[in-house]
Amino acid sequence: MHLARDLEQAFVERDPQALDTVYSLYFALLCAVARSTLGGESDAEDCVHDLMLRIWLSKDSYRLERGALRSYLIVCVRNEALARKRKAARRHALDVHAMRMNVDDSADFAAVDHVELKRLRDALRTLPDAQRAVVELAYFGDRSQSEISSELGLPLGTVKSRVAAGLQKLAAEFTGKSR
Amino acid sequence: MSAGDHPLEDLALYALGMLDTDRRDDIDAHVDACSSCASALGAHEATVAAMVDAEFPTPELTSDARRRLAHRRSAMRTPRNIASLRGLAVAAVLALAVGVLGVVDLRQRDALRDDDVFLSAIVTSHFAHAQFRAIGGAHVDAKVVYDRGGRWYEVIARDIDPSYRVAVVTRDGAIARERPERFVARGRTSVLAIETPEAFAGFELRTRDGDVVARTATPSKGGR
Ligand SMILES: [Zn+2]
Repeated sequence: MHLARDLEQAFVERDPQALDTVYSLYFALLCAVARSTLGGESDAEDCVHDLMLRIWLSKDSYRLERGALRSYLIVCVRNEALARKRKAARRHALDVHAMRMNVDDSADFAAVDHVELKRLRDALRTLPDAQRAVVELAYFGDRSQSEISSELGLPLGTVKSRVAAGLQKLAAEFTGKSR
Repeated sequence: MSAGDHPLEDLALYALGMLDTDRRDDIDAHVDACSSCASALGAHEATVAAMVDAEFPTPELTSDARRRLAHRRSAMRTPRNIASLRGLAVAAVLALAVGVLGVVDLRQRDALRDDDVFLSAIVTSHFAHAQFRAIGGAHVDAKVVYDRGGRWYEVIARDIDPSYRVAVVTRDGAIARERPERFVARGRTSVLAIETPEAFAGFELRTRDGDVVARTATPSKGGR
């Protein structure tokens, strides 16, 4: 924990060593996150590199109040990957039906730990149905709020409030049983 | 400030990746100025990260095995040898300063694509560049990229007379010494790379007759 905090401080101060360390520690993870959205290996790596570069060169990207740098990076990469995917989908007028549940397609990466995945499923199962549907669609289905709204036939405001409530509840679930 | 001023629900949507880019920019701007939303967003991010962790058991500070995996993968992409970074530094500096030369169509563009764009961030903290300023009526479009540690420099020029020489302005007494190396032309772009130069405070471009046609603003930000 101490180490992570030191790293975050160094990152904020743009110590080049911090970037190196962040890279060593999180690159594989961040690529896995990007790959789960984008598919291709090199697309995923491009996505992570571009994002890291942008974060590093931008003054106001990460600050200590935000909490864990690791979580911050995960969400940034996910957002970046999702934005790229949506852009590509718009460009090619592809429909967005494919649910990205196939996490095994990255064979060279660590095999999916089914115990952990079960933990996620269990946590999701604790949500009321209405909340679970939107959180699952958002997380596994990579859907935007408007896509979910039209898919479930719900007003945007309802989608928002269910997502917020669902994530809040999941937070309690995860922190209650943290490793 | 009322609760309505804080985009609380959108913070959750942000963390789950449900916002479009414009709205995300709005939230970024707000979070930048609002500590309470920064930490609220951080909490949501931690939840999403926990979901990701459950889905992808991957490198952790605490897990040696997972750490080795991360190291191995990043080692493949992070050259340890400074010398191997030179081409990349040149490419990175060019990429970040596109418009100065207006070209990135060197061999380096491939290096930039194949290697890490990310590395330009590391690279720019170790390397620097300076523009040549023409003297008199000469038209000179050139710059120099150099290692802050003084181990190498590379002059990149466009549409330059290939007979031009590079002279080093040294730190002690600003004595310029001409280097014997010649520019190598690649289309309209010419480069001249020096691996182990003397300590330098700046550079000059000279004609074969020794007339100075351009020099860098001295001293360039060398050493730190
Ligand atoms: Zn706020």
